[in-house]
Amino acid sequence: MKPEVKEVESRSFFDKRNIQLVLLVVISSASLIVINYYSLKITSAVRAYINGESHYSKGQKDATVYLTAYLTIGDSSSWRSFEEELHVPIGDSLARVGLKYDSSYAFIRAGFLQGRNHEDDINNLIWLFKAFHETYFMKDAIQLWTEADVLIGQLKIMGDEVHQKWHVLSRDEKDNILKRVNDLTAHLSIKERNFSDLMGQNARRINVILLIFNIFFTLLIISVVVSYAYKGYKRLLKTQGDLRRSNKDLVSMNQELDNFIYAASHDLKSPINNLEGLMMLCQMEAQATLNASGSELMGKMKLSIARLRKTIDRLTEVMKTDKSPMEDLEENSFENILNEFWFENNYLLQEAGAEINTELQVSKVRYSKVGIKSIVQNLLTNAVKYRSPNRKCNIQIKSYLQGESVVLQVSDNGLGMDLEKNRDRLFKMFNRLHDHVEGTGVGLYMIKKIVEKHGGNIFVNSQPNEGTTFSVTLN
Amino acid sequence: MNKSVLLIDDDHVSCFINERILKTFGVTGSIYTVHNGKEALNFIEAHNENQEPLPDFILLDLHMPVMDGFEFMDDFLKLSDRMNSVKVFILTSSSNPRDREKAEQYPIKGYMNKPLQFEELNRIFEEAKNPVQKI
Repeated sequence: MKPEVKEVESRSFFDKRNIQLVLLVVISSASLIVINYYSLKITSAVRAYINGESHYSKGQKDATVYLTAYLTIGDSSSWRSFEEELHVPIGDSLARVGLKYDSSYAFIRAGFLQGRNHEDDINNLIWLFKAFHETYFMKDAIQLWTEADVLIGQLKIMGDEVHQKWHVLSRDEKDNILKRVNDLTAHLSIKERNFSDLMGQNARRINVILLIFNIFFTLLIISVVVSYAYKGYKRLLKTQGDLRRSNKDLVSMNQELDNFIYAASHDLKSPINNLEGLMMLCQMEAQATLNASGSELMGKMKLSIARLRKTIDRLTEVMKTDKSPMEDLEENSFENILNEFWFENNYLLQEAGAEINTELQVSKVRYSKVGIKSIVQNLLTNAVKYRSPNRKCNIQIKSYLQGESVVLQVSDNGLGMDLEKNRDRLFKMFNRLHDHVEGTGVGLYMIKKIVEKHGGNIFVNSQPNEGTTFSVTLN
Repeated sequence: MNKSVLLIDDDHVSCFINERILKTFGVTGSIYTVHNGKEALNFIEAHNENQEPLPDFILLDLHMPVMDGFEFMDDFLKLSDRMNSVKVFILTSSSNPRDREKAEQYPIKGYMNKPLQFEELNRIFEEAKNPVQKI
């Protein structure tokens, strides 16, 4: 079964859709900053106007009290205080006229300062007037202010009249002026209260509008973020699903390949088993009747069948090594692995008269158990098989650390090989450099495959008729 | 050695060889041959119903057409308590470790790779000396 190979969708963060979402968030955030800035500015300016109105109102009321005192007593101190207090609403009045007719900043500022407004509030007072004087909510307030300024003007005129004629005014005339002053004050009080109410009302309206904008942009940001997160989550789920399916397909394919290898091996081995069985029967039943030539032929047939079986076994092993992910990682003791090898190959070692020396500077390695066993098995059987007939077989096994890698080294004093000629085909499948002993030519190929699967490498150093050293880095 | 053996194997040559090897080894009892699990079940059921003696040993191949060795074992074990007296050995060309693991889930007496060796036969007939254990 061939699994359907699906390419897992990979999307750059900077794709069109993401850029649109990011822009939306940036614009909404910038809008929120601007809205909040102007909310504060408007609130602050409205507060300054209401504060200014209280100074205006207080100045006007104090001026009225001093004018009343002056009317009764006629002292110069009351007159000066009247002029001084009236100076406050007149300052605001000058500032309003300056704003209306686009006078200089200095003129307007001087007017507001005279109206006892705080210096820090002046810019906000000017800004609110200029920015919103045409809007319905400021228009009404400015109209009230203008009407109050007219009444302030009348109060000023009334005061001047009293000051000029105080000595000639009769008691009745003074009472009449006092009554007009009181009427004026009552009118001003209404207008001043209305101005304050209107400004407060305006501030609340503006705040409601800005709050709506605030909520709108905040919701916009939240929905963009939630939508992005939801899409990301859905994409993640889809990717996980794709990966799970691919993984399942791969596992299934791997299993089928595994079964195929064993089935092929089984079908190839069945007739060989039969041949071996038949040979065994022939030997048992016909041995006595065979002459020397017949026995020799029989022996060669047995040998050929045994070689064929071995080739199939090795081929199965190679196919398994090729496809195995070698993920059975565990702590392996070199000593245990070597002891297992001694036990399983005792006959081979005794027959070769091999002398083996070990120097294990590193005692353990984390590796695939099957892999490390196969490496040791192949390196050591090669060292024994390709021993020199002229000297006692001597094998050195070392393990040591090279940087962070564990190295396993097997050196022998065997036949050796000419690496100049053979380096390229040394690790290729079915390549054999010697033919005087049985072999299939897959051992080194398998070692290289196993080592590379673990991210390591294999190195060889050899001199003909001197010996060979294989070093394997076990990463 | 007066023991009867049932060979279950789809490979006719293999059956021929095993039969000859058994005889050469000295088995004097009946040697029966069938070529898949279904035939083996029919054979055993017939013997069971007729109260005929059951084979002492079964040499069972795993991969066969019609009914394989595992399916045979499933049905064979359900037949009757009499089956407990039959010693089953697997004899296969498979080198798949999963086959071995699966086979060892069943109450078999041994798992052997073909071709049948005299050493293995010795072991089988050693089994015959042991008292029958209820499976």
